Amino acid sequence: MDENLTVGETESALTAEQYIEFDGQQLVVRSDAAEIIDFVSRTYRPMLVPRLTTSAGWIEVRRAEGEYVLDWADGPDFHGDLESVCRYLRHQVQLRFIRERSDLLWLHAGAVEREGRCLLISGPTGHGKSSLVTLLCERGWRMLSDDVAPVRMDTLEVLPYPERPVRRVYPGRDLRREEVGLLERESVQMSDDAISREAARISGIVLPVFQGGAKAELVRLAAGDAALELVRNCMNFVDHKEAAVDFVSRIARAVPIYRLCYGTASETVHLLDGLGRHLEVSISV
Amino acid sequence: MTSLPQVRTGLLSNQLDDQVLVYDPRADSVHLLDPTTARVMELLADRGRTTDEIVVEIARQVDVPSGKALLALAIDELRKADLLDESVSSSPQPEVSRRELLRKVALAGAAAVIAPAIVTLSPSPAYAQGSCLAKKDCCTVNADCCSNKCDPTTGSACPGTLECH
Repeated sequence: MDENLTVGETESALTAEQYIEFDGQQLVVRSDAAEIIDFVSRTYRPMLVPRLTTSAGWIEVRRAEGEYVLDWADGPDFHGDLESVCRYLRHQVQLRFIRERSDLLWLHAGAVEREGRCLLISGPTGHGKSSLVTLLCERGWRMLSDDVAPVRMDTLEVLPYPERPVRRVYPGRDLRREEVGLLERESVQMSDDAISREAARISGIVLPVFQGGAKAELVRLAAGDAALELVRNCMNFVDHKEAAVDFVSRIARAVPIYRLCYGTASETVHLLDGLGRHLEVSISV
Repeated sequence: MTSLPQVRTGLLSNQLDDQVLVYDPRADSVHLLDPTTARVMELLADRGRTTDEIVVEIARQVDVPSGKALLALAIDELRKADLLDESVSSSPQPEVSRRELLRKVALAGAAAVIAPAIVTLSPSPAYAQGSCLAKKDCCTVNADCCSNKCDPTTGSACPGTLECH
């Protein structure tokens, strides 16, 4: 069992708690199911801390009649099998932190850093963010985030949110766009060296678009097109509205933003690696 | 076209090179205006301008003999995006289809790529989806859903008629 666990006795079963920390606040996840605790340990290993100091709330997952029930203070219970409840738990953890830190602009994006350069890979689910992030980390980049990137709008910095990446397993053949969502997923273990724990200022942004069989191509977007895509990828636009529009406009003026069309992530990553090495380290807005 | 419509007040515009990103607080929507429409909107906001002056200015910018069709098309786009103040009377626009206006634009020598167009986005009023969708969210395939069950909806909330169960 992970050293960060605190185990306590309840009426019917042992309940374990874990504390997932983001920027100084901890979300408590408690469960009577060892497999849930194991999932949290694996998924949030770089984000776990041994004690609660500033609470961001709690989520509870319990076993009930052959399935699992996820319970949290602000919403209806979620019932499901282990796989679905784990996916939902990950989703809820993101939402809890987004709510707690609504001062940040949360983008649907992965982020990697190398030698002070931060490359954001932004797009909706199924566009290959996790595949590209993990492949870049195999080339010496360090992961700040896999699926959601919290951004400070005043400094343009991405804060670390290093949950464990989950990427799709590509079958080694050309795929149609609609097949991508059906692919099996694999969780990718990242070494400590491959994870960045310091905020980094955005140097460039890539918006990947998967097209079966396509040769990898990077095209720099006009600032307006780029800004609109970033609005599309805002997860908490509702918190900022005109400030979000103003922010994405500023970032689109200051930072190079590219559309990446590609068909195979492994054959594309060298292109991103090369791009990333030529980005400016410090961009002011 | 003898008098011109006015641009609605309260819109927040961000100039991005020759495009403009507009936030409309009333509708909570975001619009990306192409260079021609952006210029027309700017000229309309400058209320001292006459129709003829704007037509000439548009023609000069796009490098076509006449900017009349482009102006009409841009105003049509702005109207459809609800960026014009409809309470202010302006001369009624002729009932001309976009296709007909585009034909006129082409005849005037302007390539289709500069034809006025607005892309509108209505960002989610709630927190947007992350790694998976919750129950009752609209989906397209099973893998979209945390539950891995994307089935026909019981109501009509989802345009694709599929929702996570």
